[in-house]
Amino acid sequence: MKKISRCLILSILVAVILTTALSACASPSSVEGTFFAMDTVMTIRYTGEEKLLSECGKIISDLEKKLSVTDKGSLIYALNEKKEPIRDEEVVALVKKSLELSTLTSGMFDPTVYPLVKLWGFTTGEYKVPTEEEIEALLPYIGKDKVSATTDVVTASEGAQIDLGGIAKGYLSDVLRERLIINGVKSALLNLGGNVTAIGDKDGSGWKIGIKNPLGEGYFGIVNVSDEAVVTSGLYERHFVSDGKKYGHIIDPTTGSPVENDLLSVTVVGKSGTECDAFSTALFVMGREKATVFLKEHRIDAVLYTNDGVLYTEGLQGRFSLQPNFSSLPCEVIRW
Amino acid sequence: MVKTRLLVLIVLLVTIPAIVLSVVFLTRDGDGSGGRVAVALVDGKEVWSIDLTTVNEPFEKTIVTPYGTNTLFVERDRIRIKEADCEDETCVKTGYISSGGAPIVCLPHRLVVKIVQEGGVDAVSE
Repeated sequence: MKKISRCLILSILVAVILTTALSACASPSSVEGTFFAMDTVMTIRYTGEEKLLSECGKIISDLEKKLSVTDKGSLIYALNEKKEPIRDEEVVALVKKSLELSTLTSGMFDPTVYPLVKLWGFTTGEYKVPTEEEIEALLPYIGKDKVSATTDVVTASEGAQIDLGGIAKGYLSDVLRERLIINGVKSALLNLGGNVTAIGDKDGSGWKIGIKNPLGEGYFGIVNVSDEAVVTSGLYERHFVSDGKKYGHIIDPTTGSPVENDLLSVTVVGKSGTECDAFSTALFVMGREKATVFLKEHRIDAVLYTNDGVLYTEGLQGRFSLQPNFSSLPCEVIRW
Repeated sequence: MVKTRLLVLIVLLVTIPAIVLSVVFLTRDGDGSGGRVAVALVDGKEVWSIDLTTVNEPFEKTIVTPYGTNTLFVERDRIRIKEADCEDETCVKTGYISSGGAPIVCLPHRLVVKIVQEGGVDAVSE
């Protein structure tokens, strides 16, 4: 009898130890944090050490301090307002990258468009439709040749101003992703104000990322990703209506006015968050026809929501699907 | 005798972890309701939540944050921010949300209202 009870105690002990070990394996610590920065809300969730979250927080606030266009202490502010050259290694590299992306997209992504963004009131929320003359007066200060970036210094010519807002979140997602991966994180989802980046998989299958319905609430499609960024540009983000006409915050650098074409939103899927961010803006400015050519030429994966349906690239076949309530939308594949 | 002991050992080794693991897994992330739960978070921390499928009569819910006050309007299956004493009222302009899509955000008050839906997406690109 004694033996049986001893055996019982032993087996319970073994079972408890096994259970604890198994549960620990099955649910490694899942961490989630929210940050309010860069004029948006950012959520980071990952499986890994909790202390990484504060490191992420520091990366976010440090970058915001360098890149803010409104913070008087920022490097970009000093360049824009006082023409003080930038020598910070990280910012110099980022400006160079932004100029390269501007060249690649034939100026459709342009970090020097900032004076126009201000003119239309998108920085302050005090929106106004400027006169033709006001726009014309600023156009000579727009263009990547108004900014010079050598290996260690960035300068801007008189009247020119830059805003890296078009790639800042994408770049930030790349930096955060790298930091998490270096520290052993194998599964994570970063949502930087709708700019989404996935590390690894979620429980063995890809992450399901919805693409916002540009015409209303909810999402019109889902793209399945692992180890990729998903970035969307559309006019629903920030816009105003004047005399019944809608003006969005994305400025066409060639006209100096908000983009007005056959695209409602552009979503780019790819490995580099920085590039996805710049491409989504550039493609949105290009319009359907030029965007399609660009996607084919550079083999970039994207989903275009146009005036008359949805287009998505070959590389997303089997990974992109329309939501059931959008299944009546014409849907076409862009072949490479 | 030896056989009985072995049997007891095996049975316990199998059943105890099974029971504990089922409890651990079933209670994790506790969204077993299959409903459509609206959650309000301030500074990333949950301050209030409700299963929208159980709402019969629309009602208002006031969320007081350290930064200001927002009034939610709660209906069956959907929710919106009706009033806010923030400067831009972007949250009010967002209107209703009814799916686990993009959340309603009030940046000045660090308030996020989102819907957690079973089988929904992990995030929304916008």
